[in-house]
Amino acid sequence: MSSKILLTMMVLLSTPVLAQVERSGAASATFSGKGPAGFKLEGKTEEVSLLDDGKKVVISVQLATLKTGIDLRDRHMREKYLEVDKFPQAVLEVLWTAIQLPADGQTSTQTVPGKMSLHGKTRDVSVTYTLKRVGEAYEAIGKLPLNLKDFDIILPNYLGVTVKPDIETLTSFQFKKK
Amino acid sequence: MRQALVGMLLLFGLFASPRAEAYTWMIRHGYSSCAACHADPSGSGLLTAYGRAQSELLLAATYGKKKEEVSPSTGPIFGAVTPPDWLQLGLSFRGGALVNQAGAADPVVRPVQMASDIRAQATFGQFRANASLGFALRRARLAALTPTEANNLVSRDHWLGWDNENQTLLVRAGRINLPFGLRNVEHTAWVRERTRTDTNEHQQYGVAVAYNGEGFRGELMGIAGTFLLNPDVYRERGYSGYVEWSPRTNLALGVSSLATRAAYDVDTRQPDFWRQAHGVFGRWAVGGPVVLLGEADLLVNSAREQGMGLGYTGLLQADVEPVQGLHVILSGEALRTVGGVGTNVGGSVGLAFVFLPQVELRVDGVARRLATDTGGTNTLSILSQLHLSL
Repeated sequence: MSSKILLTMMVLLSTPVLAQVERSGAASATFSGKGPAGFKLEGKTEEVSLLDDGKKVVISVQLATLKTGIDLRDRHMREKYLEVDKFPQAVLEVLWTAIQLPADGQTSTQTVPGKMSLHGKTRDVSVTYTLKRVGEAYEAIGKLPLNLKDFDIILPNYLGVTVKPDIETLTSFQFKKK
Repeated sequence: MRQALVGMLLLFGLFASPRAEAYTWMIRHGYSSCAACHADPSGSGLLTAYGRAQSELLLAATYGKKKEEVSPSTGPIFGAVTPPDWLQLGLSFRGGALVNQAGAADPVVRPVQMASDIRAQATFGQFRANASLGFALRRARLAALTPTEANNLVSRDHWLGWDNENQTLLVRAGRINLPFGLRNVEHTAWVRERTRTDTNEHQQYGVAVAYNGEGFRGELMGIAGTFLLNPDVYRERGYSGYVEWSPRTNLALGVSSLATRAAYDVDTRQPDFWRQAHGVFGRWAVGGPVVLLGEADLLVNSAREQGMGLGYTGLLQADVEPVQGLHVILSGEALRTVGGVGTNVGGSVGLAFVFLPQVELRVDGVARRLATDTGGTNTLSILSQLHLSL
């Protein structure tokens, strides 16, 4: 078998995962942090974008649009901690080869490796996602625990309440294969 | 003349300040736990520095302006005092006017002074000492340090505590608010009054363990009695506690339980008196400006010369905040007292305006129908109050 035929077969076999995807429907990215004495902090944005270069899927979150419910806290988060002027996005890259797309009507859950870029640092991470397929549409929910110290983010502190370094993130979106 | 007096008192109420207390509707802002903002882990009373900041950011009217930073005036006494980090100070005043009419009787108008307390907490590492000292023109006898019928020095709470390193656990000993149900500000609501768990005067001495963790909080207190009450036969011994679960940041569901025994009950004048209350409560930020609060408690009393009797009480309240700082509070409540002849019902409409940080003006109209042997008596109360938490 010639190398050209082999290459052609590999491309054809991998078509389902190389297919370009586009976001459809609503999306959201949230984070939750904890502090002392049951203190909890949640932030949310709907500014989630999805890119597919055929090899990997790239999920980007616009950090400047994160809202926690308190304007002043949002400003501190943007300016003091995330420094969104310099680092406007959180970006997660996951190779398509690691992703298993479920059959129609099925749901799959998997933990895969990825690369997370945040606050100017890129770290290897493990993402747990659930994919539900309905026809050509997929509903994706991904959970990713992060440690703020890993990304050189100062631990948020305000009047004696300090957020713990471990935070949970959850991103959900819908997409379709082209 | 009476009308003029009523008008003056209502105006006094309108331009006096309300007290920043436990606001159970803070779940609207994702705060299902109270401990970040209050020294008391179950809410109410002395504010932490963080709590003071939230009172400006989340409670006070903004008049359309966006806060650049928290004002220094959120500090104690409008920022006039800057205590060291280890010391938290607060001054609380709540007073106004009350108009009360029962049945066909003429309305009674009187000024009310519910609280004028200095509160402080000193923190040394994982240890804390917390106390309040105030003056009460009337009532609050159970918190009185002085023995007169009126004009008493009062200390509603004073305790020593130890926190674990994560501050999820607080062990306290002293005079403490009874952990039970909603820690709501309306201390005359039947769910507070009839369970004797209000923050006005029904604190008791004992040892309490409070937990504030992820999605759960609770407090259990062993009650040793009210040592300010003499002789010892009047003192209740037993326990009080609650557990609350927050499956989401906008929802909290809890259960409470209380059981005490007194050799002689100070209210009912019955010997060997067992008093129990067991119930459920919940807080739900429905969405938009609406928060629903509810509590339902079973009341169980028994005494040496009286068999076990059952009663119940409940409160359902909607807090609507159309714009920040302005609250419309709609409440309905029910009470069947142990041994009572029927069900008492009540409804109220309140309007509260936090027009400055830590300064609140509130007016409530409360209508109640009290069941009697001959049918019932209607009562109507209008309370206007100014609440300052400086």
